[in-house]
Amino acid sequence: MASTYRYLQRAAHESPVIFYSLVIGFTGPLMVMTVPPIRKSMGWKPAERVPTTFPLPNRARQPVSGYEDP
Amino acid sequence: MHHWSTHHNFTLIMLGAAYNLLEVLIVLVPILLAVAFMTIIERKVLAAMQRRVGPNKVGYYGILQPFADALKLVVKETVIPAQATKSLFFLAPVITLIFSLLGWGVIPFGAGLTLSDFSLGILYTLAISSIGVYGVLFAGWSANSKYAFLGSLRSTAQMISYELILSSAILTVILLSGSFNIISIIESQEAIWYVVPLLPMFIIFFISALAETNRTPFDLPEAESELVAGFFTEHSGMIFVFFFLGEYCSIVLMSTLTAILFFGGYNMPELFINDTFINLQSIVLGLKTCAFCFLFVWFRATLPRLRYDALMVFCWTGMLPLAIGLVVLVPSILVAFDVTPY
Repeated sequence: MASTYRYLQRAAHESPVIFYSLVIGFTGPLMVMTVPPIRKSMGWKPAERVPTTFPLPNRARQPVSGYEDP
Repeated sequence: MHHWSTHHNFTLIMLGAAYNLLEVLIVLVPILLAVAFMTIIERKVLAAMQRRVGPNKVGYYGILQPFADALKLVVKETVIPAQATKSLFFLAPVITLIFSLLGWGVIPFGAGLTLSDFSLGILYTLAISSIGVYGVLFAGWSANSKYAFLGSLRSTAQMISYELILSSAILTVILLSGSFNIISIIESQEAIWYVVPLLPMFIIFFISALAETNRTPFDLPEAESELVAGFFTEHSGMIFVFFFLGEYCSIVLMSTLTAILFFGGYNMPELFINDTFINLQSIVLGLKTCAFCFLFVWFRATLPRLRYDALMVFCWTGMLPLAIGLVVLVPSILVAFDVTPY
């Protein structure tokens, strides 16, 4: 643990751009994994998905035969 | 009857063409004037920052200096090197100018007030600015001079490298607005200008815009002490004017793009009802653009030129990792907080 900390400290000192770019870059996916559970525990409900098709009718399907048009 | 209708159709087509031409001219003539005045702005601002007067003889306050310069350059003799590839030598400045002017095709000067409300406008802008590199490359190669050739190689490498960063900065704007259309991007900034949530990206964008337009501190292609004048060393007279116009045109275009992508473009708070026929939105866009043109000149007056390897190292190991980190961070925040605009 201490050696990892020392390594990170050294990396931040020796190549700060790469180090902090990685920090910024890894913060993103970390947030994607941690933020929604925290929000859910505080009472947030995800919005309903926007429908992309018509809902199926709640009845048996009528078989189609011939030309039905009047 | 038939004869009359073909004739009528032909007239209609010609009228439509004339109308389109008029539209294009209405955009391009003021743009070229703005480019001309950009040169006098640069000279005056540089003079003021160096405690000089600057040009003050031609017209009041030296305001007609660009036209005097243009006249001088037009009547000058065009010298073509004997060993040059003449077709490309003439083509290069034309390419540079045309492709920097084509970028104005999708710039909106007011709500819906644009030559083309192209749905992929921002991609078009990126593509056009990439093609501009060819002008530089052709100019350097065709002149058959080592200074021009080295200048064009430097310039091409620099422009291609910084284009990556420019594109990733624009990518975050696209992610936030959820659209490639420039008008949609402007309209989505009604609540807040993107410079607030994307401040680091704005800084990165502006630095790479400086490099894209070959401006100080990244004006290596024109490093006078080493390369005379860079890729247009051998160009003189009229074809030099084309390079000059193209270069300043891309500066004004980059300033306009900065205003559009990060500062709300033509949008402004509606403080009063505008009953007049004056289009205040274009004036607002113009003022924002002027601010960034001034910033371009300010950088030139302030910063010394970078060494070439330092420039490349800064791009590939400094800005690129940061830009990629931010490109990962921005959509992650959007997904994590469920605020994606699409």
